[in-house]
Amino acid sequence: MSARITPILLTALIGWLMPSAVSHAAEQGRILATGGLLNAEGSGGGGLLPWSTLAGLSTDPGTDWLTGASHVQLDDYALTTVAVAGSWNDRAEWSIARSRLEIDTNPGRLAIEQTIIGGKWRLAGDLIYGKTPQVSVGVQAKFLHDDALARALGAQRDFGLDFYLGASRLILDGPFHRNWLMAANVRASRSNELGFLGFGGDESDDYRLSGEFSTALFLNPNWAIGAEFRHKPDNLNAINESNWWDGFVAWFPNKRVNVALAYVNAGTIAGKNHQDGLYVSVNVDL
Amino acid sequence: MRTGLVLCVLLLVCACAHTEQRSSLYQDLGGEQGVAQMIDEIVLELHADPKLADLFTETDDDYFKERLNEQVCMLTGGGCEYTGLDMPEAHSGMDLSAAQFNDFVEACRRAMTRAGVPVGNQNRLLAILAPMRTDVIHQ
Repeated sequence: MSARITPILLTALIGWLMPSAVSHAAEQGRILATGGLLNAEGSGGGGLLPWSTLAGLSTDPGTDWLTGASHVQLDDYALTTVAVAGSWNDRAEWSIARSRLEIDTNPGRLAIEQTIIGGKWRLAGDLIYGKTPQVSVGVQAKFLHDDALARALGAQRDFGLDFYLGASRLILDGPFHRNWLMAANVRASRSNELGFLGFGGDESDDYRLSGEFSTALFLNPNWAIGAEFRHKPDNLNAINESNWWDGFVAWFPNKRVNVALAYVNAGTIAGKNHQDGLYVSVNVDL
Repeated sequence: MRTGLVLCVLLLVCACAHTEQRSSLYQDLGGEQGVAQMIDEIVLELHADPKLADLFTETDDDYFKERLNEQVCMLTGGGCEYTGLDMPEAHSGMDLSAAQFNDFVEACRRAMTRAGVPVGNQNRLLAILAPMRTDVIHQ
């Protein structure tokens, strides 16, 4: 257990020490919370899915960095991601993440790791201002390090590219005179369970489209509640892959640190039903 | 019985919608006095914010506050006339960045919170000001 939450504690520690260590507040030019978190794949956005917003709070001109750790404890699995991402001129994002899925087996425990390198480019619009929502295109290159289980279940490869087109918008003065974030993506992917079970399968080896949606209600500038839904294609004959959803609370005390807690429902993963549990994410703006 | 209930609900909905329309944001911000108090806090905050203070060192605060009061009054349904420069003129030559505009928004939020303006009314005012961004930055 302690090994699983170490990344979270380390990130929190960095957040604690950061303000005295460095200060370049001039480059955190965006409105509080508009850089979001780093998702389970290391891309800027929510917890389970990326948004079209770029990680950190860079504006033009400027560069900003965000590091984050997240952990989901499900009934038979634990998913931990540690990531660093940067954005330039509120135009481009890059990210690298190391993600680890632990499976409780009887007896013992199996761990599957992957490295994800991400890129995102804002094509048009803005999250808050102007008439066009922020529209971005993104790519995630996923390198699966432990492919034995994936192969055994019928996956075709240990490397995959996910592409997504996303739009997001903060609706100012929406219902209840609150600001609401709406985000949606279309993803083209061959990933099985985000890539932990390889890419492509014996049932389908084609790129398939899936939809991802997120909404958040800002109770005030520092606190948001919301939900996410991530549709996931099913490529393997041997097992069923479920869609994922979550309900979250996010806290943005300042531009340096944010923390999110969520209830995640991941349905069936590799034959194990009713996988749900608690998600925690800590992100620090460098 | 049922028709009566439906009518009753309809009446209530109409009444609510009507009240909502009649209560302007200007009134909800406390009218002349409330808005003036809020703008005093905003100007204080602009001078106190290390990221913004340099922009306001040569500002004539009394003139600036009068124009802000007029502008907020006009935009929020208070029925005033704004007599100042239009936004591109007022910011001409300053070449304000996207970051500085956001800093201004966040300074306004802090000031409004200090002035006791509830979050809902802060959001209403900022939603009215947000479209001015293109006329303010890079001028």
